[in-house]
Amino acid sequence: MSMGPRLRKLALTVHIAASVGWIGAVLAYIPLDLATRASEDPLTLRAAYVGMQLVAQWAIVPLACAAFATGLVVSLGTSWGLFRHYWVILSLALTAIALLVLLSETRTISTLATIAADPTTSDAELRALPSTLVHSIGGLVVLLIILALNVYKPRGLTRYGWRKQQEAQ
Amino acid sequence: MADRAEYPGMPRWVKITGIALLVILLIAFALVALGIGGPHGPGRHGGAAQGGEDAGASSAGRDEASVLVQGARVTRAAAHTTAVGALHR
Repeated sequence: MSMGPRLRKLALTVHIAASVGWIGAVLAYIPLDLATRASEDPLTLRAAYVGMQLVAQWAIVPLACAAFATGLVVSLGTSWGLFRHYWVILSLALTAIALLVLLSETRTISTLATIAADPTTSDAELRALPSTLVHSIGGLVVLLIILALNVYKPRGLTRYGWRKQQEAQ
Repeated sequence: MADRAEYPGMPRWVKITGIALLVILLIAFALVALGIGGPHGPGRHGGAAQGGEDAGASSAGRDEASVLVQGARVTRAAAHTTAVGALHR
């Protein structure tokens, strides 16, 4: 199952755009997350939680899903394959884990934004709300590891990849 | 038989990465098991724990935000009841 050069370049372009966009969206999210940890100002807290929810829902989640889906297309549609190289498997596994954690975290972010947007929520309650900093910074580290794996492509064939390579020769 | 190449084996970087990931996972599980780091651990990601979708969900996996919402609502309700009670007295 190999794509033609035009289709391959299109899929790769979309994949790179989505993946880099995912990192960029997380970088936009982190200052808001930091504000929820550092600020005591109720207006800043309300704005930050609502902003986090908007960035997560409309930028991070769609870009993450697109990056995962196009990653599958690019690997399956080229000679790299999905299970032939260790770096592809590791990249896939880390992306899947990051996506799963993100999807479950999104519900927490929505809950936090709902509380923050509620005008009856008191200042003390706002200040007591947690941040999601551990997950956002952890997620960024994972995304940078995936980026490095995709750029450096460390050598190493799986047993399956090695057998396929032998058959092709 | 003579020309048949042998599989070179798993590269060293894969073994090192695998061990590192295993260690990170064990530390994460230990942190969750010991309750260090509060409710920000991976236990927070339990699907059934979010939003009360599963009435049988264990309290260990409950979402901190949901707990905060309930706590805030209870506090407000209690304050409201006290205020109303004071008005009627």
